[in-house]
Amino acid sequence: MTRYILKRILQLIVVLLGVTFLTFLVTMAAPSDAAEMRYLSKGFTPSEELLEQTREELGLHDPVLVQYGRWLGRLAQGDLGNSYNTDNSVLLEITRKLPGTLMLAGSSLLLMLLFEFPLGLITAVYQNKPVDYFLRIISFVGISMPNFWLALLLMFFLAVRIRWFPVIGRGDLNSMILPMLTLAIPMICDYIRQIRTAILEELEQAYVTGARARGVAESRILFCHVLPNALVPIVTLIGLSIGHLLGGAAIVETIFSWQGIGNMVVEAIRNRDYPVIQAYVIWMAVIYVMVNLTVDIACHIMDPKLRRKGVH
Amino acid sequence: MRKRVSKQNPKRTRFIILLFLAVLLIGIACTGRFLAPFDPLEADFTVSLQKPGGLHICGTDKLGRDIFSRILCGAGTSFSLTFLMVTVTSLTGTVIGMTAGYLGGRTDTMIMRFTDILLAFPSSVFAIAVAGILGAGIFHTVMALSFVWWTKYARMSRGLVSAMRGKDFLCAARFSGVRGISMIRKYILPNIMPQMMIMATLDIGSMMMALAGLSFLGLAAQPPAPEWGYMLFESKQYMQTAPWMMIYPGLAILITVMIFNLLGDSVRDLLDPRRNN
Repeated sequence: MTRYILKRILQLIVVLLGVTFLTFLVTMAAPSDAAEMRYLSKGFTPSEELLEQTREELGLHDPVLVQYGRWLGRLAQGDLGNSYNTDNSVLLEITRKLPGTLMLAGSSLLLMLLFEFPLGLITAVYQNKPVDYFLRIISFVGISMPNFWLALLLMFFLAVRIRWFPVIGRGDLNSMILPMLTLAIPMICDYIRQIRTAILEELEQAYVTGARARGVAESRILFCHVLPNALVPIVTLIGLSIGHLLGGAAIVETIFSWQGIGNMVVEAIRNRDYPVIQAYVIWMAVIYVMVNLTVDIACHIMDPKLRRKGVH
Repeated sequence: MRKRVSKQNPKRTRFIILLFLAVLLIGIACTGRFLAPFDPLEADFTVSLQKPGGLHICGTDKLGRDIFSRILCGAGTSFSLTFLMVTVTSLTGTVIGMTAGYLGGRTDTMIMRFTDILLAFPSSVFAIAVAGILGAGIFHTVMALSFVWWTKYARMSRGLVSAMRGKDFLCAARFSGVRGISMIRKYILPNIMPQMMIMATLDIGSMMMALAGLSFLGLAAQPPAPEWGYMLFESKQYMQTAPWMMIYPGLAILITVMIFNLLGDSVRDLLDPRRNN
């Protein structure tokens, strides 16, 4: 187990190095370089000499790898550079926006977990009964609906028509409900399907027939045998969802003007604020990699078969 | 007797109906420009923000442009981009994954590590970032999205191919002298083809939504060209006065994605050997 974890952490470092390098390369390919952006974002066009001087100061004439090394060194110390727009350190900007995203992500995750398991179980247990059909149709529509349209619909019906919630986010609990629903509903719909398939597949296994033959109560089979086994693939998926949520679902945050990481990056894209965009990409990659690692370890602990084979 | 059974196979009937619907949609998308009752770009301020009904069955927008015509013409953009990207990414991904799985060893490790790096960029984050840095526009977004999208095909095909390694029929083929490309073409590809096709069909809906989402953020399609995602973006500020601007383009996306998702499911039912017993 320890060896497995160590191996995974080593892989993680390689992946992170790759991600940072790729991010750095993309910025290098930008149409205007850091020196130019620094002035352009302040609203004046620099003279050629001034540009050259700044380029010299920033070391933009050095080979790419040297620049990357320097940048990585600063990154390791937590220095992600300054935003072109506000001149604040990017780290400060991110830590300021992070609570919003964390709150939204946490609450939608909670909502999702509350609904997905009971509903998924119901569809599997009542397979091909009216309840199953009803939930399957709903969840099918849910996964085929783009989230920004769902956001607009919720806003239209719940904020414009019946005025339960504010249209523009003010950062309080009441304005969190709509973005939370927008994030949670498609996920719930998706998971109902996934859980249903996982449970149905598990119910076909020989051990279920065996347990039934021995007279084990159906509810006991379901909750003590089937559910834990069906959970393994679901946990992997939930891990991915968490990663996705922590990215601050750019579109949803923008629609509801929710102050979070996703909103921040869309703003940064409009202003061409490269350091912020870079920081966002790195943040996403770090989260993703960490979540994946945690999920893999959790699956290893949960599934003895995987542990024995040493599959990853 | 056998013929009758296959004729009545409900999976097959379902597939044919859905395929018909999908082809119909594609047909509409291709001919949208000619079917549209109005010019999708022509502004007419005398009919600005009109309710659905009469000449304009889906209403008009702020500039008096006919929403229905814009939806019809927007279909072309969405469909062609979606199909282009699903085709390109699924082919690239499959080829790369197959190579990795077939060769194994160091090549495999290197390719898969690279895929891991790209997989660390979730869904469209990378596309958003690249489009943000290089500047918005269809070309940049498409490039960025394809750059990360092929990885899942690579993972899948690589997994399938490496599971096939050491199978009897492959050994037999090798003993009779089949090598390299023809091995892949004659023995490996036909075996993973169904799985890859299922994946690609199921992917059409997600790709369409991803592209519409990027347009919604103003990163893909540029105005005034009609595009569903961008139409929804424009509709937001007229939500109170003209909700039809938001309802119909959204419905268009929903219906299209639903039909392609159903088609994907039914392709899986038909082709997936695990479900065919």
